[in-house]
Amino acid sequence: MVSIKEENGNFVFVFSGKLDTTNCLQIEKEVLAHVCAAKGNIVFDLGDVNFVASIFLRLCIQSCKDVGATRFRIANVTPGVHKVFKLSGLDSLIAVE
Amino acid sequence: MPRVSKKTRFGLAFKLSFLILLSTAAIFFSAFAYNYSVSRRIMLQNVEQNAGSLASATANHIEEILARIETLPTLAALVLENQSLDAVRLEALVRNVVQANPAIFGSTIAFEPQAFDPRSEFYCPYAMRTAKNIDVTYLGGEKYRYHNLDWYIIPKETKRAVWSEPYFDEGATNIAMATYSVPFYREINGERRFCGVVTVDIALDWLREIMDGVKIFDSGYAFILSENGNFICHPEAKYVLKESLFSLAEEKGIPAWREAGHAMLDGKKGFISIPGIHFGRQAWMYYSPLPSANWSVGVMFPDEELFRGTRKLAYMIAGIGLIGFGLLFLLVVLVAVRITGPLRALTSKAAEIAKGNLDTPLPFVRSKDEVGDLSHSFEDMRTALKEYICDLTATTAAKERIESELKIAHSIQMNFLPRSFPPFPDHLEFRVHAGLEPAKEVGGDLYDFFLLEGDHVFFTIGDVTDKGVPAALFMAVTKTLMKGIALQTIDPASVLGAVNNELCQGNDANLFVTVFCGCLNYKTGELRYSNAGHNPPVVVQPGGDVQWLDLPHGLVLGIMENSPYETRILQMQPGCRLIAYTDGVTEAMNRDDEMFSDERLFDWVRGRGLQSPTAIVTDLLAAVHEYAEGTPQSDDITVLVFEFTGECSSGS
Amino acid sequence: MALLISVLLPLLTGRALAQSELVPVRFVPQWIPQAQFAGFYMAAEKGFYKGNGIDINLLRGGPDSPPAAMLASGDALFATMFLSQALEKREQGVPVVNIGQITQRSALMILARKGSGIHSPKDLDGKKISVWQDFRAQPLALFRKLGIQPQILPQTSTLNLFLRGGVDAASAMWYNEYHLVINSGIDASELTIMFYNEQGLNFPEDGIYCLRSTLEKNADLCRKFVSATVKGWNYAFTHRDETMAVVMRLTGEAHTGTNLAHQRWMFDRMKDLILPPGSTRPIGYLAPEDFSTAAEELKRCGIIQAVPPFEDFHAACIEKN
Repeated sequence: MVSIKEENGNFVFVFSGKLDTTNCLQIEKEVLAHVCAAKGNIVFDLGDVNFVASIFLRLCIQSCKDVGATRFRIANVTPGVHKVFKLSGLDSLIAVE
Repeated sequence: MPRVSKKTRFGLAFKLSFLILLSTAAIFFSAFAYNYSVSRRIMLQNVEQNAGSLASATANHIEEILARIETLPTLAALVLENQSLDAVRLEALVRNVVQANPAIFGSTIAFEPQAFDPRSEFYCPYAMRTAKNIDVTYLGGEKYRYHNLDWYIIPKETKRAVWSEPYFDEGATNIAMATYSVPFYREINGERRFCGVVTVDIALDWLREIMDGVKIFDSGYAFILSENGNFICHPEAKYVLKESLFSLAEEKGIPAWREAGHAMLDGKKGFISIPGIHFGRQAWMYYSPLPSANWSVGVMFPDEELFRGTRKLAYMIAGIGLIGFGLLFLLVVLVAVRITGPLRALTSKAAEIAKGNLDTPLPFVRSKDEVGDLSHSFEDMRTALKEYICDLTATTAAKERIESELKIAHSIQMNFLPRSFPPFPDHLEFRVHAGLEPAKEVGGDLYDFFLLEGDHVFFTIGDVTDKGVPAALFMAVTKTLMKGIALQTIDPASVLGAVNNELCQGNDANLFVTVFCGCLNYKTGELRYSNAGHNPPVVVQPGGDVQWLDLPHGLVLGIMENSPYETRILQMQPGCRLIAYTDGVTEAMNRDDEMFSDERLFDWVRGRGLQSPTAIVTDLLAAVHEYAEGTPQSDDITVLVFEFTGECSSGS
Repeated sequence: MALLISVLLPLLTGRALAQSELVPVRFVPQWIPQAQFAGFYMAAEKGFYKGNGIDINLLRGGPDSPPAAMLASGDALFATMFLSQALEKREQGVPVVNIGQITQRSALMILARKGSGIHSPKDLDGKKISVWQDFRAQPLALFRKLGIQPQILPQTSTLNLFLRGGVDAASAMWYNEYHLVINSGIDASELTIMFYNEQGLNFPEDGIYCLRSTLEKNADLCRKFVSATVKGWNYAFTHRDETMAVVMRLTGEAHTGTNLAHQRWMFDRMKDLILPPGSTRPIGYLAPEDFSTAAEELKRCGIIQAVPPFEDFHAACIEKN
């Protein structure tokens, strides 16, 4: 569901599959722990994600708050997922590409 | 050590020991029997060879001696056939025969009646060896009619030289004698006529010496049978010239001896087994003929001595086998008891554990075999079981706690929601209906509607992003704030802004809630609404047209203070329906992990959107359930339907 | 004391007298010791002769002890002989008289090899057969009756001539030579056997003889001897093992070179001859018809000139029953 790559101190979290409530609760702690420890930028790569539950948004918000909006971005979102970000208004808060 | 009852003591251990020992015994005995029979056969083959050469050598030795004795009377007969000797020369001849060979005891030349002297019926000079001399006497007369005696008549009638059946000399009754008689013939009137016989008498004591020289094991021996089957030589003196193999066969009632006698007298060689012949025991006999006298030499190999080596070996093997067997027995029993002992101990302990006494200590097994493993596994099982039961107790407690939490959360959620429909029976201008189906874990959905001053009805639908008690509490807070603030300011965007700012206070957990709210002037049908990250509701126009409600951009509540929210206006025509819902509807999954989706919702509304709010809520919830095909509901499902009827309220 | 002596003395002297009253008797059987004479041995052994007042002296028979001659010379008081022998000796002037017939059935037989093509008496025609000089009457009578002419050879005391193939057939006694041949390795199945008694020539054989003078002078002694002998035979027949032991002891002492199996056979056959199955004749009885058969045949053969009267030849010495 998630793999973490480190490149020059920047962390790329590559998510995949369906990030529904159950899955999100499973990975939440691990992701947050890495996010907190990270020194560089954080990227959530959602290229392989076809669905996000609203609880994933909370994970994004928390990560964004932890590292600061400038160091956090969400990349490769599919139109469906982008719609969720847009709908929730988070696209104004977090860089979603 | 636990005490084990006698009855179980022989169970597995006994079976194991018995089976192992039985199969070992079977293997051992077949190997033993095979070895014994093969070594016996090899032994017998060797013995047959040795016995054959022994018997032949003995026979040859005797034959040689007999042949030397035969020479003299044969020569004398030749002389008599060709020359007519007078009485003096005849006497000299017979004397010479005796003189020539010390083995010869006596010799005669016996004539047919009138053959030597026409006047005399008998003429028979007999030379006999005495202590000092060789005496010659004349035999024949009324008292001694030699023509009718075996030594004379047999060669005469059979027309060949013969060895007589051995006999005891009348003077010395313990010395066996035999007579060799050679017939002689003369040409008389052109006819070859029998004229008499030349005989030599020999004592057979030398035979005894030869036979005594043949030593076979401890008690094996050699013997000679005469042509009549009588024993000429035998270590049992009482048999000599008294018994034959046939008479013994009759006396003992053993036909096999008679067979043996026949075989020997047949003039052939052979190796046969004879029962009871050797002091009542079986013996092997090799026999070889003495053709000149039609006698037969037999050499007897007592079975017991013959196979002594083999038997000794067999006893040794059997002994080793038995000792081994005994040791094996002890070992097997020991192992069996050692294996089954802990098993039995384990069994009794297991029975106790089965009763629920998990603190029963298991017997300690040191061995590193299956029993050890079993014992350790059992111990592990016991520990695991104990731990599991502890865990289970703890888990059950935790689960009970969670379930009670869930109940609490559930009751919080449900108690906060208005649940009596229709909520405003006096107002016919609008109809509202809502339904919320909580997931097992409370999802934090909320809805609300209340009347405000100035012909307004305010409604809210929202979804807290979390589960359980925190979500329920957050939902309760949100709902309370919404209502409290809405009572102060009627503008939905302002309400959202204020509620957002309140919720952002101390929200470390980053809980947030999506909210869609609206305020309808039920007199005019003007709906002012605002949105905080919620799903867009569907609008059903009175004519049946369906469209997504155009929503302003707005961040979910609780994340960022002072987020901007915007109020928009929808002029509702009488019969216009607004269907608001939470993502529990569109994200409901079926078995193939496919979501109900916006599209399906939209289509559904297009078909059924003109029903009463109550029917829409009920049917939509039913449709979602039907779609889910029993897939467990992971989130709360909430539907809120508002209809502007435009009718006048009867009461106002 | 004197009285005591006067009482005891007659007893002591009486016993001494009784012992001195035993009559010494010498008896010679017609052949070497063997089971043929078991009854005589047992009578002596068990004291039956002594019981009849006879101090018996069993002489050893054999070729050197011709019974008739010994009776004539007085070397023996009683002897056994074949009836035919006795008739012949009478003819030759030895006045013997039969005082008891032991065997009723003739044991004389012809043995022939089936291998020589002899399967019945008639097949003997032209074959070599050995015949005992003393017992030639039955063979001659048979050959004459059958009208055959075998080649007759004198028979020795053994059957070795027959065993070595020197003759095709031989005379034999059922109880003796026949069994010797069998125990020389010839199987019964290889032999054709012919009994004279089955050819109408049943000559009584073993009988007890003494001189006429003995009978006339001491008929009581004769009766006593015969009755003790009969008792001896009866004892022997009921005590086979004991009898065999005595027989074997005597054969051993005489170095006759025989064996138990043979003597046992002989003894069993003697029983068949003395008490033939189906016959009720008591031991000692001489049937007049058997006597005349034998005598007539002997006369026909020219062995005797005249048949003596039965009463002259035989004196019944057993109690009539």
